[in-house]
Amino acid sequence: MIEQPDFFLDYDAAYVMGALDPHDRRAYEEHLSTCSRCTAAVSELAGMPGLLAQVPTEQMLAPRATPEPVPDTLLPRLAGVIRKQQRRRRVWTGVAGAAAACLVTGLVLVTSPWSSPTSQQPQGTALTMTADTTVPVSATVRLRKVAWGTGISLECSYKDDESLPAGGARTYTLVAVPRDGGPVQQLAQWTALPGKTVTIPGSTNLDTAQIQDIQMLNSKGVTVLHVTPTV
Amino acid sequence: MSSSSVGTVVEVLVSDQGDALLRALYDQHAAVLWSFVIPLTGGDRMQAQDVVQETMLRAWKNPEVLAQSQRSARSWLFTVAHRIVIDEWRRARTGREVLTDITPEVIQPDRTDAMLNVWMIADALDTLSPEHRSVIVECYYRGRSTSEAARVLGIPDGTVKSRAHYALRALRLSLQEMGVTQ
Repeated sequence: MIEQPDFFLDYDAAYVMGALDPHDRRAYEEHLSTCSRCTAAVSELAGMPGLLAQVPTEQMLAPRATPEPVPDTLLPRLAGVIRKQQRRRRVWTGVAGAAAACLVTGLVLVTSPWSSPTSQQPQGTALTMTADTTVPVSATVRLRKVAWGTGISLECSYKDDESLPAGGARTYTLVAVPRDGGPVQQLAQWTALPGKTVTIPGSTNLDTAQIQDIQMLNSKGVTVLHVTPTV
Repeated sequence: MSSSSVGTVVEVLVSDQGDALLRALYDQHAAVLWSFVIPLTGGDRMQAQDVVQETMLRAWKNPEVLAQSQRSARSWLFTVAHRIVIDEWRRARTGREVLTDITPEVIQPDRTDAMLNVWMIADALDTLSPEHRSVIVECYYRGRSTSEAARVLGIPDGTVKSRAHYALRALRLSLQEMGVTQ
């Protein structure tokens, strides 16, 4: 195998989906332990399996049903309502220009769900994870309340001096344990590189208050770090 | 969107107002929104139509919704429709006593929260090209390895890997725009 710099460039997605054949997977993990670019590529995609898992397999495998057509009455009715509102609006604007504008701005800020799904600034509560055993890794999770659940981003650092186990990289998994005893949700899976800090985006449909514990598991499924969100 | 006679009537109504916004809203989102809302209302078409109408009306009043990317607009519409259904559900629940012992078919809010997320992701998957979608279906949902997927799809193994690479990145971008992930 002649290794060119970009040989493994597009292995990342198949890897996080667990679809690489065993020999490819071994070769890629070996490569990951030396290539920070590919490691970064894997951590970017690490949250994707957790998101894909939320769509039931049966739904994805079912033949795509022809969608039910929108009722013919919908658009005419909507156009009718709008026409009425436009008439009303014309009167309104005539009467109270500035005051109405202020009122509308206030309303939009309160009712528009824009701010939650689209805001990009780092936000949410930062929580430091505590170690269950002696591990060469430290991590901070950040929880962000969104309309459909909780956005979880993990910043994870590994000690430089820790030698990797034979055979390549360490694989970690981030999971959320729901309060109601429901199934544990996998949020992200990624590979560790010594001396590097990675940021892993994850997401869950659980409300922040519904999360009992967030745990980081090693490849043997042992919890190495965990944190209990305080609501 | 099938009947041509209704289409003509609507054309007249809309063009009368010179309102291309409503047309754009309807063309781009009505069908998906309709499919999204039906299960939320437990299959009640009357209620579903009210919910879709109210959602589109709110979008029409907030033109910045459509000015954003199509993905963000979709996310906004799903979120608003979902909110309307939940609010109606709560109102119905607190507003009047249950008159019969038949449990309402309408799905409970905690279930709809999960459904919203599933819909956003499923919708993002549906907007991928068929080539990209099929690679994710084979490699993730059917649990096939890249070589098995290559055989099933009749393409080289390397093509499966590179399609998966672009597919998952396209999906991630789409979900970021919808605010599902960062």
